[in-house]
Amino acid sequence: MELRKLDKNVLKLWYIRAAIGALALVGVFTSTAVILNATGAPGDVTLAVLIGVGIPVALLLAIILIMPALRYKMYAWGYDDKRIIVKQGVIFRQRVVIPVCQIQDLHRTQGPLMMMLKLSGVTISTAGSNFDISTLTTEEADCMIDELERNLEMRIEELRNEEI
Amino acid sequence: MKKFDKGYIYSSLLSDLFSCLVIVFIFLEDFFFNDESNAEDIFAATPIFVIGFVIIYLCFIAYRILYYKTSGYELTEKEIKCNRGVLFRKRSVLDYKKVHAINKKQNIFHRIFGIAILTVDSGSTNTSHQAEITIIEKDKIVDALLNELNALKEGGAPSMESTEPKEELLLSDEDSLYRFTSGKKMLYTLINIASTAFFTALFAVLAIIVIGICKLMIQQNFLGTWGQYFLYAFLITVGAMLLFSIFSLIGCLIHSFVGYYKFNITKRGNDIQISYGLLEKHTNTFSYDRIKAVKITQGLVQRMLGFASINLEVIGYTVNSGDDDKNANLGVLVPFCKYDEIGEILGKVLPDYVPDKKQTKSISYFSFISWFTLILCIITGVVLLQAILPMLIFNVSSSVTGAVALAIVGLATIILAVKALSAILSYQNNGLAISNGKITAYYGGFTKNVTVFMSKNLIAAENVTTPLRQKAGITSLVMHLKTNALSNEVKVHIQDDKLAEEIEHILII
Repeated sequence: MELRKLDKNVLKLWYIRAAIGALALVGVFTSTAVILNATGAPGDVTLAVLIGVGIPVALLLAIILIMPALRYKMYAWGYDDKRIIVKQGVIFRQRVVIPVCQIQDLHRTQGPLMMMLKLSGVTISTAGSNFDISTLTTEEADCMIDELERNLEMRIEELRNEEI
Repeated sequence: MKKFDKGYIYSSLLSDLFSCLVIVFIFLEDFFFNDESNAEDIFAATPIFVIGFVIIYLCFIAYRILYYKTSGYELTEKEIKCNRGVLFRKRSVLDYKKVHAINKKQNIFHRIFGIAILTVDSGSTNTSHQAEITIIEKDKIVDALLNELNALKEGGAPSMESTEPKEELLLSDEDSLYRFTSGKKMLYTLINIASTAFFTALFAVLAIIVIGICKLMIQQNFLGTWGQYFLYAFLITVGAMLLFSIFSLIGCLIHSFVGYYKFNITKRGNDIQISYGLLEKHTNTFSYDRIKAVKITQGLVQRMLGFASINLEVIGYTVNSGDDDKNANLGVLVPFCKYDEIGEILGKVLPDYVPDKKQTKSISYFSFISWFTLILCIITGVVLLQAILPMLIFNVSSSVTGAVALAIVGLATIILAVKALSAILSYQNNGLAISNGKITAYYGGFTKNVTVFMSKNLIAAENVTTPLRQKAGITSLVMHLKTNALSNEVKVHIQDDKLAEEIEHILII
């Protein structure tokens, strides 16, 4: 089965989310500096606290800004009449296989940012776990749900005939 | 529709009264029994508390009466119907063929009024937090209903005298397939305490290191009184841990001697019945074909002494907490037995779930520890930087700086040593056996787990690898099982990646 890559808009969405996260981190660092300045803390205390807060903030910032591109590069998904396959993960690479006949229900979700970029998330519910296909274009998501529904009916019919 | 037994109102009100008194005592103890409280204040406040208590209790009475009035059940030809709820009313209809498990529960308040609670479960994921059908009736009627429902789910017809008390079917001691004797209970308690003691000892080692550093800080007058506060806070934590150990000992004793009082497993046709409990009596019945998995667990101490416990994954058979609620814990099949006896016990109770011998094993030890070591080194480096740099800025004496650095490195080394030990155990444990539609997964580090399940209950498969592991043909397998329990994943680490293909093949077939 040939696996597909995600739409470029997904990368945009992830970068917007990363930017919001990065802003929050910068906010933490800046507010710490402002509080220290306002309380008139001695120079060496200010430096010590800023180092203490700055090191983890810098590390997290680097991770937040690098991750979307790496995640996008590694993400792939696909389905046929028997199974759905999702490949993801930057360091720990996951490959999830879900048989079509195990699907209980399919959900399409959209947040405000996703709506703006015409994207949708798809959640596949089975009898035990829920699996998310990170973000697809709304068109892809609708098409996938319709096709999976058809494949599920066909597969159930096939299994019924095999039993008979 | 038949109403629940009136005993429900009385037993609930008695239990509510007991709970209210306990809560009131906890909250008002300080006010009434404090030396500083004067008699006049107490005298003035008492009527307010009494009126408040009466109003709250009247609300409970109203709720219980309304619940009684709006609740009821009915057994029809094809299904069982149940109404309940006051503010949020629920009407449940459950086809007899879809009954997963039938559980009877009776706590001490129910026993005073001779009633019991019968919960019938469909195994639906939507009702995983709550029983589908709840019936509160006289104890003997519940027994009769239990027998009747068991017959109905096998395709029998409902009898007209369904709610009439029937002759109780007594299970003789000889029927039981497993005996949880006092000796076994004592050993079970001791082993649990030994496990707690092991972790308390581990904690004590860490505590000694930190206390030593604190003392040094105080001697050097580093951070002034903060060093002292830190020391006190740590001593309080150590005290709390010791108290926790003592409470866990008492809890364990109560759990094994009272909770598992008269533990019996019986098999009648296709049904398995497990009953236990002194203060709260449980009788759980479920069909053999409703079992999704069997999990054998061995803690570190249990493992060293050759004992184990066996749990069941049956939707609907869980540890009930309230009248209507259930949590997602696995149901217990055998609380404690010798590891060597497992084959014999499962052979008698669940012959299809006897674990097979491991056919595969982990192919590399280093993979169990490599990523953990790397992440631990990064975290230790960051913590060291954060701790040492400010000390250098403050011109703290080199002995304190050295001691702090040593403590951080020492702590990281202890964590790494524990992980290395766990990795050795994981390396020995992890493996798989696949045969005739049955999968036996061996996994876990300090706690060894063996999960046996039918391949038809496998709903999804995951394999997790890293670029380097991919080159070496190594993967970790995650198998998702058909269950509504919180943890429905079985993870077998560091296996040959060809196994992932085999599992995928089984899954799609």
